Amino acid sequence: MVRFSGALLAGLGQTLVSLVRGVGTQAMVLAAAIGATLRGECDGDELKSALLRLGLGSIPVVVSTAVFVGGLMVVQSAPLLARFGAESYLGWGAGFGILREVGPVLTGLMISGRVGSNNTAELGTLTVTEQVDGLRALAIDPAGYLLAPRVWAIILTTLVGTAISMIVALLGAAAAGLFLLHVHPLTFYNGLTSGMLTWLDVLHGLAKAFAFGVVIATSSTAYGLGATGGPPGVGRAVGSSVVATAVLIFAMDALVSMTARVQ
Amino acid sequence: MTAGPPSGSSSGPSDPNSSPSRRALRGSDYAVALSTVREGDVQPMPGFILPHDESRASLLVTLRATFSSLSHTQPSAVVTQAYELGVRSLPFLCLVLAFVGGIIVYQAGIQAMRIVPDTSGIGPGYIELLVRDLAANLTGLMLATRVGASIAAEIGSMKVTDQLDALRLCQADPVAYLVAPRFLACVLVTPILTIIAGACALASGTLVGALAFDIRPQNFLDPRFVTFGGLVTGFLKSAAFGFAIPLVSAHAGLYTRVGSQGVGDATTRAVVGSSIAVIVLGFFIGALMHVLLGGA
Amino acid sequence: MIEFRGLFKSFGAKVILSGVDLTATSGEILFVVGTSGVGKSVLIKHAVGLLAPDRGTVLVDGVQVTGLDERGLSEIRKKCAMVFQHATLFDSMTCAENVALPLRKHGSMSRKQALDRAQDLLQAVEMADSAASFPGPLGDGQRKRVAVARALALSPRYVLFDEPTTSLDPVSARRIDRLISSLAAQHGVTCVVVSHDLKSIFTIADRIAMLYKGEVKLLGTPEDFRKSADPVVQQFITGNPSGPMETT
Repeated sequence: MVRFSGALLAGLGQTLVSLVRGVGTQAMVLAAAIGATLRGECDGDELKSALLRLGLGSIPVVVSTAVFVGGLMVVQSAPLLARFGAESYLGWGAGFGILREVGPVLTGLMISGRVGSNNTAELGTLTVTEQVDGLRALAIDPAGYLLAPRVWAIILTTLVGTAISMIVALLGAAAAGLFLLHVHPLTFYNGLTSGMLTWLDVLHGLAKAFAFGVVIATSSTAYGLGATGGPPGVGRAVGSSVVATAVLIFAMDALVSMTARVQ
Repeated sequence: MTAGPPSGSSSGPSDPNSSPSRRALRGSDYAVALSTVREGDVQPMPGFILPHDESRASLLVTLRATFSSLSHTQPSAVVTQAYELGVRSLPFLCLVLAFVGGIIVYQAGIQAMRIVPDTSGIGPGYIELLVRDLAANLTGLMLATRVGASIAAEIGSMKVTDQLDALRLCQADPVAYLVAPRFLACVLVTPILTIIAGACALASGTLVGALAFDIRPQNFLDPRFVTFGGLVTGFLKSAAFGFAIPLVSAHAGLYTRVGSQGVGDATTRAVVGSSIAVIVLGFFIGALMHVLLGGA
Repeated sequence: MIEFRGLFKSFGAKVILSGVDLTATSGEILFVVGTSGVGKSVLIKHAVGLLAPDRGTVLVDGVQVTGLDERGLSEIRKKCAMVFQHATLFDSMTCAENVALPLRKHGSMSRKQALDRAQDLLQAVEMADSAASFPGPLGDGQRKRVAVARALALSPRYVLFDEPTTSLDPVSARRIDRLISSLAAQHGVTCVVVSHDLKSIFTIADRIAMLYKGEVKLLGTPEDFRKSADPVVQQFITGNPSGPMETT
């Protein structure tokens, strides 16, 4: 038992150490992207292409999961609400959960999976096939050509994606509320807008979305550029990247939730 | 790279599933692979789809192939995978569940103070949520990420470096040799991981309740809302996730596209597919149980 | 002139270069030869700042390359281009766009002007017909020629070739040799070629530097090599599998 918990703690420690190291690299990625953009080196064509590929391509995934996430919220809270006879609070409860917590976090996780790992795979491939070195040999700074466009595209995608998913999730929750708890959509809407939820809650969620976007962008980029060892190395980079991003998303979530004491 | 022709003798313990993608196949690997073929009959390979035909490959084919291989899977392989996928995921899982547990209790507490300043229901409500829903969902989602990526990356790498073809030349079906052990390991291990991670979430929730809202642990740790139906729901979910994640990921790995980006893309498909499976399955099982247990 | 002075480089515990001194004079074709893994590619990557040495300096036209940051290296890289071993074209663009990229980034040309110039460059390497194709379906020899065209885009004074004929069929290999030869003869470009292709070495090289065990074992003309009494040198240039030479 002691050995097991010792091993568990060691594993935890290892995870944390590599996380801290990773965070340092990610901060450098962000700094490089900002620097390149301020110098006017952010490649416009690459930015457009990244927005299309990473941004538009992730909308279907975000929307389809959002519907089920909304339904999931209702399913989660159903027994508790039924117990207290508080069905009319569904609108408020779902709204609160979706806007402040579940919406940003789950959208963040889905975008990390879809967009983040795609980004890591692309950059990883470029790195292991020496194409990044090829850029540098042509005196083209990868920061402006590769980093900055992708970082901005991913942050924007996360923000917009979260906004869309919040709306869709609320709709999904309303539908699930209707079919499972027989809560009339109007009751749901009233609960939502009854005044206990404000635009500050929406802002809270969007602020988180921004933070998650930064995390996903820098993490996926850092891991991608660090890939070594051919196609297997690319796969490994993607795996590590998704895991690290997930932990960071939750850490950021905790940070924002507990420091933003919005009343 | 130390890739050499398979030698007749193999020194040292054979460890068939210890990250074969990180080393070339050894003589012992071929020996183990051959042992999955029963003497006397030439096994058809239900998972074998010729490369030019891979557009025919569907999740159903992989599913059927996995099930037909279960009977002659090596127990040692399952144990190795249970360690790789299960034990190695624990630190990550516990960390995340601890975070989330804390956040949820914190948010719930704030809202409770806002509406009716009575924090007595938070503990019991949280425990009920954890058991029925949260532990399974969150563990599932995180496993979809870590285990999904790991399985797809390993199998995908083996495909891209021709190791899957090498297995077939030894009359070993990659599905029996690689997928089935991982599948069994996941099914067995996911509920256990859910329980352990759930315990971590419980611990951190109790801590937050005590530190932020002065709720005494004795009052917090009150399971009075937990029902048998809730327990069953939670268990069913974790079992379903343990079922779905390895299948979706292994399928993505088996049909990795050749090329530098192939493995990365396969990993992406695995993570996204597994995550969607977890969310959708979670919703349907929850909804079903709610209806069955006299909800609607 | 490219000068390598006292270059030391290790990767972890593995020592690759231990004190390499070498100079490439203007307009010559200098071959850097040796067995696989001896450090030839590692050496020339220092000249464009893709690697930084543990000790020693590299100078290009008298300017010290080692210690420059990415912005400073920018000027060096416009003067000194590199053709990678695996051609390293960008898969996401056509051949013409590959060649045009440095022109658009540094030559302040419009997209159309850059593509036109790219067409001319591709013509010079006999790849004009493939201008609109992507690198993927092309053969190795063809990709290498496109990579050469891209390297020549900014009219560099030096071009570094990393194993240009490795993995090419004999005909394509001789075509690359002819390309390198005409670069030096007609345009005065200094070519530093990393290779272990004996035919290339003894056909077009002005001088040869042989790397062995981290140092320059012999520096001289092809004649010097043929006449050398050193058993290791003799083993290399005759391609004899048995002998004192240690290979990796």
